[in-house]
Amino acid sequence: MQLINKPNSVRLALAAASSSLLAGAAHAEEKTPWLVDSALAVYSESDSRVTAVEPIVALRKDMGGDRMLGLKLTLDSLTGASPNGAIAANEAQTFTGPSGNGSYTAPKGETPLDTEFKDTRAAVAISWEQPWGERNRVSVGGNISREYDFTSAALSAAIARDFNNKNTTLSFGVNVETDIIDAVGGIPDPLTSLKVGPNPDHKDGGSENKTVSDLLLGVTQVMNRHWLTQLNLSVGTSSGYHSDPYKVLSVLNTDGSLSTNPATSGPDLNSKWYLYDSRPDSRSRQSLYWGNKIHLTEDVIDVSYRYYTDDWGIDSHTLDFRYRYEFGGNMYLEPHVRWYSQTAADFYHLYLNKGVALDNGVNSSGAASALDYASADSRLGEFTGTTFGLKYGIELGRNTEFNIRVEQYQQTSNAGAPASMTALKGLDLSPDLTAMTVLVGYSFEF
Amino acid sequence: MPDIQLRPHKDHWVGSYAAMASTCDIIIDTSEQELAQKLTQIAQQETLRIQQKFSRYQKDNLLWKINHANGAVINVDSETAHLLDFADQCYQLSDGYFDITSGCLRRAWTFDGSDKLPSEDSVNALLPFVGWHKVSWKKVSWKKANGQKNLGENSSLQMPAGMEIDFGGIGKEYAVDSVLRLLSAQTNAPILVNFGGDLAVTGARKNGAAWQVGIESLDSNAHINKQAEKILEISAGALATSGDSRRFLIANNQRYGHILNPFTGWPIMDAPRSVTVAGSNCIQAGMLATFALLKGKEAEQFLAEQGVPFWLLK
Repeated sequence: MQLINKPNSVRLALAAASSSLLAGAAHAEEKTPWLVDSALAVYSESDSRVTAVEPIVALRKDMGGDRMLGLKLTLDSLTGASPNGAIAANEAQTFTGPSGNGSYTAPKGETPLDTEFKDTRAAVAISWEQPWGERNRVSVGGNISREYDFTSAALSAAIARDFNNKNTTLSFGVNVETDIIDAVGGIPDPLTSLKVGPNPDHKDGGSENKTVSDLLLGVTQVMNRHWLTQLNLSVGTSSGYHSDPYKVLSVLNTDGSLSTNPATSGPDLNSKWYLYDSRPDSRSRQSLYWGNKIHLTEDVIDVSYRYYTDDWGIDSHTLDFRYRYEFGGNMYLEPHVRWYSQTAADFYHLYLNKGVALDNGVNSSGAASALDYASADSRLGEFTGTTFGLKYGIELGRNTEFNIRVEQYQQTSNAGAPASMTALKGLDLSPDLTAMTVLVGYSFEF
Repeated sequence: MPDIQLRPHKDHWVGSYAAMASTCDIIIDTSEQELAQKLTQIAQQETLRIQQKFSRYQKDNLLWKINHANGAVINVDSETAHLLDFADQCYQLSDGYFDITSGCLRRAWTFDGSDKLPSEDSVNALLPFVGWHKVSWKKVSWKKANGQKNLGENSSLQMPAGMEIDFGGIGKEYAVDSVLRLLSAQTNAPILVNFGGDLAVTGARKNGAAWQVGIESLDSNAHINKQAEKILEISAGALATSGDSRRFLIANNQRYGHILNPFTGWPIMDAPRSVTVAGSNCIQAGMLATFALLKGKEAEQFLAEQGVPFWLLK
């Protein structure tokens, strides 16, 4: 079939093909540049909750022979207020911050937010990837992240092997991580009563740790010229301290009012009864990811599904869809929709009921016996999150791109209390969370 | 490093070295000898790099590996991927006439000016090994998540055993453009890169005048009288020449030129002896010249349609 209609079109087609040959091959003989991806993300929750500012710089360089060195620096700065786990009540609630200095008060009907929440996290990651023989690629990496009460270090290694004329790639990866939590004011004993002021029961200056290991098995398959599909199975376990030293649970009377702290001695007991978060010391999880990239003539569709399950009772589903629409002038628009839903952990409680809690073994001194685990952390509760985003990008030259992405996140939960808890009537016990992310990115080479 | 010759002229320097079966001239519009020396060295290094990498006479380069893969899949690097992709586009644009697998026909043909035509059988025996469409060429060019284009490092080629590819029709022009680009990144001085008649310039000369270039193969008497070469002017882009008035056979009162039809294995008849085309870069100009020769007696019409300046030697 003759596709060439215009008489001079061979000249034009050859001009385009030769320019792309010369531009592309320029990589080959010149010294390879450092490729830099820089970005600034600003994340802001509604209701003056958390605001995060996150600059990221990632560098990559081809060291020759397809060996890639990567470096990534991330700085997170979080400010604002975060829920401490206690629920809204029909009276004002006052808490002492974990440092023992200063207090914050949640007005009647509002979810208590810890205003001392402030953090800066710095993370460094380094990676190396290279071919190994004809058909394999190996990669190793490490990263360290540090914030004032939390240190994390991880190592990873992976191997990928091509089969079937490079149409199939199998990959296998391992990741081990160790975390050290050095809580402000010390680590509280699980399910003991929240104290006012410095907690004498806390392990003084003590820290806890956690180790995490993950295995990943993946297969990537070129289905045809337009369709690339990927299936990843990941299995992980973690052991050690999983609780949140800053989170508590409210203990309520049968009518939904706040229980009075049953302990009678000690000047620094809070008058209301809150128990510290308590989680199992191990967790094992599995997830299955199915991703697809569909390359149309110019546009690219990226659609994925992820199923996650763990032995804490959380099952989740994630659907993610992106459409990269190229509209000429080296510009593109990429709408993004993401839907996420999870079930609650078995030990998640919006609150503890005094009668039930006591019946289940929270004794009058506030220490747990039969009730081993309980947490009111909303991240362990049932919720659904929806993200709508739009990204605009413009390619300014070889390896040079500017882009901006705006995303809106809405999280809703149905957690509530029975009508019999009249004191809670009319209170929004699981308020929706709305957050906005703006990400400005600039990629370049030097 | 093999020798470099550096010759001063009235207002410019000419650096020369031998590579790719040609004399390679680097003409630099400068009075600084040091600059001319440095640029010629860079040019020579790049020319030899390309020659080493893409020459079919070189053993143990990637091309050798491809041609001796015996049917196995061979992974190629980004530069080779770009060249193969370009060759693929040329194959499509020429309706299969430009074919980098047709080089094996040389086993049957020797263009030495004699009357020794090969037997039909010896040509037909080679035809099963000609045809780019028989090659499985997989160019990987996914756009990465961050928007950067994957430049095809993971592309691969699989060719039936016995077939071979040959960048002879692209290599020299590609080297001219590559050298010119490398040199223009080093200096603002105007430069002309000339590899035996395939040439490209950065622009007009310092004084605004066009470069004067002698193209030997455009004059039928040039091999007798070197002074009789045709003088062309160029102030932008490139010139490339295809055809060689000295490589042919004459039998049965017919002239058999060395441009072969990949479908029949026999020379394209009634093609001009030589075609010179002006283009925006040397590869484009070279391909237009080659395509024209492949059109046979329609060469002139084809070039006229393309709207490019051209010179023919019939």
